[in-house]
Amino acid sequence: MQTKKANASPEKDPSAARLEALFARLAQGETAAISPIYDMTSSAVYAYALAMLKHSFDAEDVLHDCYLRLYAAAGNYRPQGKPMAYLITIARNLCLDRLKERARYAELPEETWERMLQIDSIPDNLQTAEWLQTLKEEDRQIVVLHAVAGMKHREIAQLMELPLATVLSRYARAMKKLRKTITERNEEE
Amino acid sequence: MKNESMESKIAEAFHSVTPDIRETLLSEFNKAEKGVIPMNNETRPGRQKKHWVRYAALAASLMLMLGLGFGVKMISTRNATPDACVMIDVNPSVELFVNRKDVVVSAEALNPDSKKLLAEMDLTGTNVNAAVDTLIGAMVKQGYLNELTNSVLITVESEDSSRSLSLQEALSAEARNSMRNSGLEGAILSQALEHGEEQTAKRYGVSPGKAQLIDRLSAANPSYDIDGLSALSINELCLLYGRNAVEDIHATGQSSDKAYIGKEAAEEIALRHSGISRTDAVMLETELEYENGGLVYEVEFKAGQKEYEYHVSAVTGEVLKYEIEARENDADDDGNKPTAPGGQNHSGSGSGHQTPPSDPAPADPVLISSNKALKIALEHAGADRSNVTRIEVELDREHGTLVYEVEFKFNGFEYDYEIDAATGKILNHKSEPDD
Repeated sequence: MQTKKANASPEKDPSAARLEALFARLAQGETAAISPIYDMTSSAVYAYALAMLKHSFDAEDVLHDCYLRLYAAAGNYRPQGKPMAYLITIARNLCLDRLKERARYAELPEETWERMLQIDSIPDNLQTAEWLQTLKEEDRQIVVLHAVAGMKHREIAQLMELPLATVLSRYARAMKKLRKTITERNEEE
Repeated sequence: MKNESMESKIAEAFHSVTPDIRETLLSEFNKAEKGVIPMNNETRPGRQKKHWVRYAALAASLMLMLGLGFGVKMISTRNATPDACVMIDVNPSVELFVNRKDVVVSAEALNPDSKKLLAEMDLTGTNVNAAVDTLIGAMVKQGYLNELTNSVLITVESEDSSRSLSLQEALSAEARNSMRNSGLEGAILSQALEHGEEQTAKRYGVSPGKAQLIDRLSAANPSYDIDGLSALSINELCLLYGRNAVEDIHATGQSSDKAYIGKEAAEEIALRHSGISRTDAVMLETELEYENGGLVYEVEFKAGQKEYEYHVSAVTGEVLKYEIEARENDADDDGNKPTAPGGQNHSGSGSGHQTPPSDPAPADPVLISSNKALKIALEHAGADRSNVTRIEVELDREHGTLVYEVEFKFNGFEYDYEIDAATGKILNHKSEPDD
């Protein structure tokens, strides 16, 4: 364990270390490890899948397949302090497959953010739904990955195959826009 | 607002809508670990892969990646490729993957009961007919199939619809014969699995075949609630199927209703409650139906100037609900006014009705009678019995208290009362213009 620590990135956070340990246990066939893994990561995977697919059924499918794939591949994971990014990469591939499939077959109508965030039953989510609605597609993905998955801009850039500078400026633009929405809202009222 | 607080709000929102599928995942992990994994390298042109193909392929790749065998049987690809999946539902639910030559390449337990069942047999490599025979035989032996529950649901999933149909036919006959050999008359429903049922199945925690049967029943009868239906047994669902025309399901045999009090008994109970003798009741009709999470007998009949409808619990024989209505369309000039619910109201009845022998209220002696409840409501409304129509009195449990729900129409208004069944106190009442 000591030697591994030396290799790890300096800002390695404790939750990443815990997640990596859980991945290792899962790889050894300890299926119960999925429960804490799910607690720590499922909302990030689901949020990202929603942002990519804009449909709650599809997103739930991806959520499901993502963990099956993690179980199958956990043994291949090499601890580098980025377990969340690893999981999101699996989710991304599943989403891309699904988008390809969708383009070929049926046109699935997109759901609104109000629906995906179930504001009928959870009115507190209304503001978030409004925010996400106002953002541009790629900005939205970046915000979700940063806010929900807690990924670093550098990791997001790697995942989305974009230059770091682009991710940083898009993130800044998105945040500015969200703040503007709040100010406008307040002025209206 | 700071970035951090905006972000945490977003994170919270997603957290609140993320479904919890841990249990599904765990059971699939465990299944993949110990089950027999059919190889599936065949790529199907076009359409999205069926769920079992997806899982099978995934599970196979999982085994390859881990590079270890948990006692996994790998079957050579050519003969192992399943081209159909047969699901047998009784209470144990079993999934058989069948190849082109009708050989079972793997058998999977879909619930704990079937795990026990399959632990005692090895169906892999046998002909699917023989496998079904073995399974049904074991289910009879272990008491899953008996006089009270004799229904089997066979669901076939295959890309080829004629293949699916011929499997359905052959296996229905096989299952029926197998039960006959054990001295049991069975009822077999068979269906082809439509795409997309695995979603419903996952959501309700039932097998895909059962999920589809539930979907079709609820489509045929919109008053059924899916949650309630999911809790019913295959036998109960098959009984309901008998009550509802459902397309695309093939049926042979009659599902057993011996676990219930039976039509005759339900009719007796309803008649006794109404104080009408069997000879006076005309157009007597009784059906087994589903209501509020359980099976009930709906008993309908007419007598004199009134129509009676009773809902009698199929299990306990308790009168759950009854409705007595005046037959408004009938000629009514012999002074025989439409009157209130059966029982103690003698005033208007004539034409040879027997006066009921005793208070017909449901068993509990502490409760006031339904007639008393009606009387309280009528008095409160200032209504005269002879002028009210569409009387409905129902004993119901509300927040733990037994209440009579009394409804009637009078003078262009619809009245709705809730009366404490123990004290006779009016708990709630409203009236609105009748439209």
